Amino acid sequence: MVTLRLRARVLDLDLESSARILCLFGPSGSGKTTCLEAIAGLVRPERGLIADDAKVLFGPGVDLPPRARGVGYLPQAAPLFPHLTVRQNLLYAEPGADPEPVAAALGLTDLLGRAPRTLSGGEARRVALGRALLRAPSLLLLDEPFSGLEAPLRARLILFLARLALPRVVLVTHDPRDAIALADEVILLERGRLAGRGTPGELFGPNSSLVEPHALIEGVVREVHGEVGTVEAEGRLLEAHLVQAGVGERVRLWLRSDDVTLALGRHEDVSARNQLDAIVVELRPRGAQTLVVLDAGPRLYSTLDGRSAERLALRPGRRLVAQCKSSALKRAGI
Amino acid sequence: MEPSLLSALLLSLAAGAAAIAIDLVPAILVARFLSRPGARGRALLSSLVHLPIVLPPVVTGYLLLLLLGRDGPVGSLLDGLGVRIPFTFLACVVAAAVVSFPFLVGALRAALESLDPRLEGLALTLGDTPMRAFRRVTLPLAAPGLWAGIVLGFARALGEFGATVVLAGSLEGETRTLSLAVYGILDRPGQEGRAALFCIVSVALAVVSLVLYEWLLTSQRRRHAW
Repeated sequence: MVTLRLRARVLDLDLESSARILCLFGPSGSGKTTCLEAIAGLVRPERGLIADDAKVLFGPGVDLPPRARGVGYLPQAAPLFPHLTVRQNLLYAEPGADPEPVAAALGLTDLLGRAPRTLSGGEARRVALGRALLRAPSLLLLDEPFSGLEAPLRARLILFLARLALPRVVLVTHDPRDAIALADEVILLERGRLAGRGTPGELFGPNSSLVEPHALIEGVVREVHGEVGTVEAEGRLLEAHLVQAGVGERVRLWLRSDDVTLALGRHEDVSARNQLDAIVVELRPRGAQTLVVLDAGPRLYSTLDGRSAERLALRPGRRLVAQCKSSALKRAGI
Repeated sequence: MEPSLLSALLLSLAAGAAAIAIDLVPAILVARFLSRPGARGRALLSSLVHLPIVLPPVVTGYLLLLLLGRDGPVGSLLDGLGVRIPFTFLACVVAAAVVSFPFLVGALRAALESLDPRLEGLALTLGDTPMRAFRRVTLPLAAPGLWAGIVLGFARALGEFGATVVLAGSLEGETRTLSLAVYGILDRPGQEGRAALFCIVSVALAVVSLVLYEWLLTSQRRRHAW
């Protein structure tokens, strides 16, 4: 459980969360980074309470110095000490430790002798992450860990984090995709205040103005054939486009509402690999279109124009078949 | 080499080195304080530190003489301990230390201000005390700037004249540094040859110092380009 009760110049927050990966989400200037710095002990709130489970980091009469807080901090910019090699950076906090296991897990083994200025942005962040993890923190603070990374690199680092055995994480981002990919709970910040909270599915679901309407589906990989695999989610088997997934792995998938088509029955002659029996839960007008909320085991969404909705005689309770291509079901946020 | 030139040169080098050694730790502390945005009393301290640059050196020397003379507030204390500063080699050191101090502070402060302050914070989250973070991260990163300050301060100390002549006098072999020796020669007619020799040595020292200084500054700028 993370407790954040903060009063500072730009912050007025009061929240508790037991999420494993908690995301502070908001536009720049909303106080996200100040929050992280307050948890790390780098800025001092006027008053409040910051606790990691029962350990009070800051509170009445308590102000632990950063070194005693047991947090690992990955700042957004300038993450490495430029005068030290990658190995020296990794071992900064634990000079006697063996860097090999962490370096191997983060794909840094070949970089150990390099100087930070010769690294790419993604490599530098992986080194900084390894350095923080080597201290075995009980709380990991990540500030925009993927911003400024090219798409393939970003995907690699996200998959990497998703698979790593991480301690509890507070992730700061302004990009909904980061939250959708990783967060268990999202805190929406606006001008230093709580403006909403929920799972990524709730906050970035079909009502969100921040991302296009899509479904978020959690499941377990059952089979993998190259890039395509079978995922079991809420009793249904789905064919999905998986990047670097292993059998038995938990994955989070997303499906844009534009990619879901509806039919009155099952068809042998369509290319879509997924055909799911579904019940219409709700119809929501969305401009000239209609957003259809479906119960297909997992909750799905489909965007239709008014004429299609009429032709299918859509109304709540109607039984249909929802279709989508396997390539439309992708790992979330990537 | 002419014996009086050698003795003056050695005296200047020794006084300069001793002055820098005395200045070093206070300069680091003052530069660190001045490089912190919002530190209280920054303007006052900064003015005080830079005073020797703008004051006529003779005035600086006279103020030091008032302070360190037998009847001065500090001088009388030292006198009780059996230490006498005016008109001894120590006077050359003190004069050089005072006039070169702002150069050390200035160069180091600029180097510290050019560093990303977040790096020190990061070191704190990695288990360092503030002192240790300064020693392990900030100081090594500012090292070229510190060396630049040392070189410039040392060069300034070698050229020191006004404060030294007031506080230390010009005793051959004891307080007659290079610049005092040059002045002494110019004071007497018919010694143009000797004067030229002394001048060449002075100019050579200054040029070497400035080249070294520029090189160190460039390497400080390269430090955080990455």
